[in-house]
Amino acid sequence: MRVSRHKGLTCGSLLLVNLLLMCAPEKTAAAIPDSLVVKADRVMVSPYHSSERDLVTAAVSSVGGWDVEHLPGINRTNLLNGRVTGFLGIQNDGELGIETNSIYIRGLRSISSSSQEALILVDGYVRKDANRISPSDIESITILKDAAATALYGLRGGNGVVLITTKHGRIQPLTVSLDASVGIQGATRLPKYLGSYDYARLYNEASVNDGGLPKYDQYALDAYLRGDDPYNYPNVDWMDEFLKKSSVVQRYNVNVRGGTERVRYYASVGYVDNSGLYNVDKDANTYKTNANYENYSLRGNIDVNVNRRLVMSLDISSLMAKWNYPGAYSNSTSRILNALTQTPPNAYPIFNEDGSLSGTSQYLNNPYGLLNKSGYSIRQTRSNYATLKLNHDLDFITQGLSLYGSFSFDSYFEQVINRNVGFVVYDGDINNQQGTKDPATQNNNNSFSNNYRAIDLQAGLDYARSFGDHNVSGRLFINYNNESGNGKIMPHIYKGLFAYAHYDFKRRYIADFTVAYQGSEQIGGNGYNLFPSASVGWILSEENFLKDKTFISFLKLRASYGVSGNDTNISYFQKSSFFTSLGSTYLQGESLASMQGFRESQVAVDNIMAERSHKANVGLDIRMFDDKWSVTVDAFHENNDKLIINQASVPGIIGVRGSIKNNLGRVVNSGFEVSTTYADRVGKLGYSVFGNFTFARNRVKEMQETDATYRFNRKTGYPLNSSFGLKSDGLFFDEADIAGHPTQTYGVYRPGDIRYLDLSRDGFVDEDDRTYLGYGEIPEYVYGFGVNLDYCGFDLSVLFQGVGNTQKKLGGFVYWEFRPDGKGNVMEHHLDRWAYDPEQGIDTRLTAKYPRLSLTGNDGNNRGPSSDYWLRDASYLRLKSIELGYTLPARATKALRMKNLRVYVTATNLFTWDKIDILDPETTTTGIVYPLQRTVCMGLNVSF
Amino acid sequence: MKNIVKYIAVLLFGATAVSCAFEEMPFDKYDSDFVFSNDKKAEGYVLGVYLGLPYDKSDENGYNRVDGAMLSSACDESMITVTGSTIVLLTDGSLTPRKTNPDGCWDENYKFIRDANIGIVGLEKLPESNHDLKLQLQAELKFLKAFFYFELVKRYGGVPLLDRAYDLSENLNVPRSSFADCIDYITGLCDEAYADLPDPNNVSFGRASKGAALALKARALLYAASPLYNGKGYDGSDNEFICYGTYDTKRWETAAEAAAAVIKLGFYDIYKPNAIADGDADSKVINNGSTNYRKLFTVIAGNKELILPRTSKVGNQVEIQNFPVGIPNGKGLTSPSQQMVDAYGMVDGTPIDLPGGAYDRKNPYENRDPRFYASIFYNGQDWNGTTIETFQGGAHNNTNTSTKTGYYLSKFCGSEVVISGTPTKTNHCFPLFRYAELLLDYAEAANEAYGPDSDPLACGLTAREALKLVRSRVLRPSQTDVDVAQGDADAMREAIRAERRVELAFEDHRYYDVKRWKIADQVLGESIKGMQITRSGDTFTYQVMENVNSRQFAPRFYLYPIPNGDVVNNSAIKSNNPLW
Repeated sequence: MRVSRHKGLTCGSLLLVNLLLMCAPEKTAAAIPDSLVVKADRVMVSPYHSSERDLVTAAVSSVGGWDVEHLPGINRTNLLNGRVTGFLGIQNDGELGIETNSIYIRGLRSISSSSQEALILVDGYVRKDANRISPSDIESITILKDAAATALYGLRGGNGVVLITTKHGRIQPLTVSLDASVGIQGATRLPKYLGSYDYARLYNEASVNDGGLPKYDQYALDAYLRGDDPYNYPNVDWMDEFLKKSSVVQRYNVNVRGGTERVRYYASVGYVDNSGLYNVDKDANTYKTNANYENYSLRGNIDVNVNRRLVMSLDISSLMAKWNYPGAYSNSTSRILNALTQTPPNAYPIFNEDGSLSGTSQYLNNPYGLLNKSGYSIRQTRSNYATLKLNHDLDFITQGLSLYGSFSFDSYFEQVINRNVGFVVYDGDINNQQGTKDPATQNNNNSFSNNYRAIDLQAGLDYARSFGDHNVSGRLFINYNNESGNGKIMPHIYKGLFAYAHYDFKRRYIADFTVAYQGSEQIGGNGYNLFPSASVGWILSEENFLKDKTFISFLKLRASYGVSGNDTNISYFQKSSFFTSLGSTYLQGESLASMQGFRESQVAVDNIMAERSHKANVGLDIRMFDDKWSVTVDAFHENNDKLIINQASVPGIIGVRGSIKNNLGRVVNSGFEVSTTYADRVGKLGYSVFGNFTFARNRVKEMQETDATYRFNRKTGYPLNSSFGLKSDGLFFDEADIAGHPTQTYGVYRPGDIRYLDLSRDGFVDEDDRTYLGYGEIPEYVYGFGVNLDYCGFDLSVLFQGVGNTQKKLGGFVYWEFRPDGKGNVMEHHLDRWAYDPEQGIDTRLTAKYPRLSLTGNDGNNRGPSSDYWLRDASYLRLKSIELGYTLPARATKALRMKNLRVYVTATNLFTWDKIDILDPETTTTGIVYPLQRTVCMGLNVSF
Repeated sequence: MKNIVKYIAVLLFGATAVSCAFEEMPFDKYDSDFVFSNDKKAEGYVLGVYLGLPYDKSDENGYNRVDGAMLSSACDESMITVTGSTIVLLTDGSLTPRKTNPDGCWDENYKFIRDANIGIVGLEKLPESNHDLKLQLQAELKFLKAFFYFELVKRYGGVPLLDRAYDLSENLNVPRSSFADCIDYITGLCDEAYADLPDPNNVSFGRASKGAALALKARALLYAASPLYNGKGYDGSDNEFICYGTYDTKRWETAAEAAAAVIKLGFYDIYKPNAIADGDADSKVINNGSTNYRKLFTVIAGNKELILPRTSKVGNQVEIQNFPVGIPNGKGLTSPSQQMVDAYGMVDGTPIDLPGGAYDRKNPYENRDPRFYASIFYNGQDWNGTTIETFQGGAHNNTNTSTKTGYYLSKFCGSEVVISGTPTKTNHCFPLFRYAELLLDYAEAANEAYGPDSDPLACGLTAREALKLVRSRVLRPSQTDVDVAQGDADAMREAIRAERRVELAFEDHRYYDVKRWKIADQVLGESIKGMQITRSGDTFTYQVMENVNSRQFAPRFYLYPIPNGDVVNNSAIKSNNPLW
C-alpha cells in the first residue's frame, strides 16, 4: 500500500490514512492511493476556492483533520505550531476555554503592533468564535501565505489567512462516530518563591540597602526558621496552597456522516468541560466558585442536489459556552494570581488561631477569601452562524457555466452575570477587622455588552471547461459584508468585485490570476483599493526529459507575485475631518455656566488606504522514490508599503489634535520555508519522519522616526519588534565606581545597581543612550520535527517544536524582588543577588547575577528602563505532543459490530528546554497570566 | 426551471445594484455645517476655544499650571515644595529642545489657534439673521487668536503665523515671522476684535470685551518696548526673530498710548470694598487692605477690576494645593521665597530696608504691607483660629513635604474655605488682565516715554499717579506715593518694578517681566532664600537660609527653545533660537 502521496505537502501522519481506511473504507479521497486520488485531493488556495494539489501555484500549507482534531486544548490554532510551514503561534495565556494566542504568518510586516496578526476564517468567513470550533468537526486547516492565495481576500488578506474547513457529508453509508477523551492538566511552570525565613532575611538586607533599618529581629528570624509558631510567624506557600497540581479536562463528540448522490450530510454534537486549577474549599459554598469552562457545539453541514442543475448547501453551526469564575468576572483571574504571587509567605496565616479569615491592612486579598468568599460570576457566549449556498448549472447557456450565490450570517451574544460579594479579613483575631468590603453588599448584575452580528452576501458566475489540452476555470463574483458590534459604533461594510481564473495546458503549464477590487467606508479616495495577483507553475515531471528519471515522481516549480491588503490599522474614518462634542466648555457669566461645545477632533487624510503587501514567492515541490520522500521549499520577499503610522512629520504649528494616521511606513520582509516527509513501510512497520523550518526576517525602511538624537538610537533599519534600550555594564562595585561613572538619570542608585553605558558620551545616561539590543519577543524562526510509527495496530506519533532568534525581557513582580512597592515576594534567583556586608562576611560583589535588593524599586527607578541586563534568550524546544494508540484488528471490530475502535493516550507540552526558567517561555515574563497547561489524556474513537 | 434561473438572475442584478458608494462621515461625529448651523452651537464652539486660555490641563488643578507647580516657582517668587515636577528644567539649566518644556505651551497654543481659525471661517455659515452675533463671535476668536500668539511670542520670540487652518495636503512648512511682524499681527488682531467686541459693562463674565482687546494690545506693546526686544537681541545680534535690532523710544510711547486707552474707557477701577483713611490705625489699614486684596481674587459681583479672568469652577483645589502641610488635606505645594517676603514693604508704604524704618528683624512679620498678609502663610499667623507654625518641627513644618522656606502661599485662597471634614468652596477665577496691571503697564511705559510726572495723553494719570492708584487699595491715601523725586525717571522705574513685583506676585508675570527687563541673569540665577525659624520657649529666632534652592540662568533662557520636532519637521525653520 502506498501511503504517502496524500500527505505530499504536509508534515502529517500516516495514522490518518490508517484511520480513515479503518473507519471509512468507502470511497474517500485519502483512501485510494492511485492517480485518481491525487485528482480528488484538493487543497484550498484562497478563502473562496480549492485546487488540485498538484496544480497549485500559490504558497499554501495545510494540515488534515487528524493533526488538529483530537489533541487536548481548546484553541485549535495553538496546535499548528511545528506542523506547518509559515505559521507561528504564540500562546499568550492558558485561561480556560480561551487560550489566547497570537498568530503570525511569515513573520511581521506591519509597524503597528496591533495589526500584525493573521486573519482566521471558517469556511471562508470571519467568525467570532473560530478558535473554539469542536475539533472533530474540522476537516483541515490551511495556511494561505503568498499573494496568489491572499490577494483575493482584498483589504484583509495582507497578514496571511488561517482557513479552517469543516467536514461535509460524503457519498457513503451512514457512519456514526464517537470521540471521547478524559485527562488531567496542570501548569507547565510556575514561579518559585522563597519561604518566610529567606523572605525576612532578604527583606532586612533590602531595607538596609535602601538606607533604612532591618525590620525583622533575630528572634523573628529564628522563629521563621523553626516554623513552630504558624500564627505569629506564618510561612505560607500560597501557590502550593491554592493551586492544584492538576485539574480534569474532558471532551466528547458524536457525529454522523454519510450521503447519497442526492443528499450528503455531516452532523455533530460536542461537549467540552475543563475545570479550573484553583484549590477551592468544596464545603464552603453550595454554589461552584472554581474556574470552569464548558462548551456545547452543534453543527450540521448538508448538501442537496435539488435537481439536475441546482445544488444547495446549508451549513449551520451553534456554539454555547459557559465560564464560571470566583468573584467578579472582570478581574477574577488577575486578582487571584496577583494575590498568590505578590503576597509574602509571612504576611499572615490563612486563618487566625480563632478560625477567622486572616489578613492585614496591607494584604487584604486573602486567596481563600477570593476563592471561597467572593461569590461567583458566569460568562456565557452564544455563537450561531449559518450559510446557505446555491449553485445552478447554466449549461443550457454554455457548457461549464454556472450561477453561484450565498448568504451567511453570524450572530454572537455575550452575557456576564456577576454574583459577587465582598469579604473582610481579620488581623490576628476576630476583633480586628481589616478592609471595608462589606459582605452584605452583594453585586448582582447582568450585562450584555459585547454582542456582534454580521451578514455576508455573495453572487457570481462560475466557469470550468476543458478545450482539448487547455483547461480553463474561474469565477467572477460580488461580495457584500456588513458587520456591527464588536466594539465598532457604526456598521462596518465591505463591498467588492472579485475574480479568479485558472488556466493550464496539458496539466503541465499553469497560470492563475486573481483580482479583488474591494472597498469599505474607512478607505479614502473613491473608497476602493485594487489587489491583483498572478502565479505560474511548471510541472517538470510531466516533461519528456524528466519522465524517464524514475526516482523523481513529481517536480513542480512555482512563482507568484501580487498585492494583498491590511486595513486593520486605519483609524476611525481617518478619511474625514470631523468635530466632536465637548462635554463642557469655558464657564461664563457670574453664575459660571457651561454649555455644550464642539471641537475639531480629526483632520482628514483624504487618500488613506489599506496597507499594501507586495508579495513575491518562488517554490518547489518535489516527490521522489515512488513518492516516499517529499520536499517543499519556498522563498519569499515582501515589500510592504503604505504602512499606516502616526504622521510625526506634521509640525506642531499646524495645530492638529490627536494623531494623524497615514500610509507612510515601509517594511521589507523575506525568508524561506522548507518541509519534508519521508514515509515508508517495512513489513508491518509503517513509519514517517518529517520536519519543517520557517524563517522570516524583516527590516524597517521607513517609520517617520523623528526623535532619535543619535544614529545609534534609531530603530529604522532594524527588524520590527527588536529589543531596544540601554546597554548595561555589570553592577556598580562601590561608591568610587559610581563617582567615576556618568550620571544615571533613572532615580536613586547605589553600589550593586546596574551600571549603564553612556553611549552618547554626554555625561548622562538617559533616553539618548538607548540603542538596538538584538532580537525581540517574536521569534524569527519556528521549526518542528517528529516521527509517526504504526505496527500491528499500535501507533505512536511524536512532535517536537521550537523557536529561535528571540529575546524576552524579565521583570515586574514575577522577576523583581518585593514588587510592587516593597510589598511583594522574593524568589529563588534573588539568592544570587549583589550583597556586601563585611561584618557578616558577605561579599558577592564580583559574582552577583542580580542587582542589590531594594524595597523602593519600581519601574521608575534605576532598574526600570529597558536594558540588556534583563533580556534573556527566549528560544525553546518543546515536546509539543506525543501519542500512543491501539486500534482493534478489523476482525475484532467486526465481531463487535463496529467499523473501528481505537484507544489512545496523548500528552502535550510534556517537556520544554529553554533558558527562561521562571515561567513558560511562550507567556509574558513580566507579569502573571493563567498558566499554560501540560495535559495528559486518554481517549477513545469508535465508529459504527 | 428557467424561472428559477430568472429569479436568481434578478437577485444577482439586485445585489450589484447596491450602490458602490460608502458614507462619507460617521453619523456619531459632526461636520462643520452642523457645528455652525445655529447660534447656540456656534457659541458653544467659541466657548470651547476659550478653554485655551492658560490653565492647568486638569480643570480642577488650581493654578499649578507648570507640571504641578506655579510659574512663580521658576523665578525668585517661590520654589516647588515637593520633588518630581519638571519645572526644575527651567531653574537648573537642564532644559533642551528635546525635552518637554513644562511651560512650553507650543503645541497647545497652536491647537487653539487652529480652532480659532476654523471658527472664524466657519462662523460665516451662520444664517445672515445672526449678523451681530456672528461679528461678536468672530471678534472673540480674533482676540483669542491674538492672545494665543502673544503667549507664544513672549516665550519664543517671532513664531510662524498661521492665519488659517491648514489641510494636510498643503505645504505645511510655514516659516517664522519676525518679532516685529508678530507684534504687528497681534495688535492688528486686537484692533479688529475691538471693533466688534461688547463694551465692558455689557459682557458676559469671563468673555472678552473691548477692554480685554485693548489690554492685550497694551501688554504686547509694553513687552515690545522692553529692553529684551527694543534693541539688540539677548545674544547681541540683530536676529529679527528675537528683537528689533535698534532701540526706539517711540515704542514706549505706543505702549503708553495703548495702556492709556484702557484707562480712558473709564469703566475699570481698583477693587477696594473697604475704604482706608489717613486716620486709620495700622491694624485697621492691615485688616481692610488685606481684605480688599484677598477678595479681589475671589469675588465676582461688583468687581470692576477684572478685565478678563480665566474662569473655573467654584472649588477648593487652590486651597488644597496651597494650605500648609499639617492642615488636613493641605499640600503646601508652593514655598514662597525670602526674597518675595522681603519685597513686601511696610504698612506705611515704605520698603523694609528704609534706614530708620519700622521693620524689626526679630519680629519680621509685623506692620507689613497689607498685601503680605493676604499672600503669605507665615509663622505665628492666625488662620481661622489655627496658629500657623512654620518653625522647625512646628505643626506645619515637620515632614519632608513641608515648606522649604518657612512660608506657604495664601494668595488666591479663600479666607473661609475649609478643605477637610465638610469642605467649602469659593470662586477662583484667575486674573489674566486686571486694571492694576494696566495701570502698572501705563506707569512703566509713560515713565519711559514722558517721565514720571507728565500726562501728555490726557488720560488723567501720570506714571506716579497710576502707581498711587494701585497702592490706594492697601495703603493710607497720604502714604500711597513712592519716594521718588520729581522727574527722576530712573528712580521711578525701580519703584514701578518693585510695585509690580508685589502687586502682581504669583500671577505669572514676574518670570517674564525680569526677562523682558533683561535682568534675569541677576534675578533668576540667584539662589532661593528661606527663613529658618527656631523656637525656644515662647520666643522665635529668625535666621535667613541663603540657599534652599540653587538656580541656574544662562542667557539662552531669555527665550525658550522651539521644540525639536518642529525644527526637524518644518523645513522652513532653519535653526532654533540663539544659543540653544
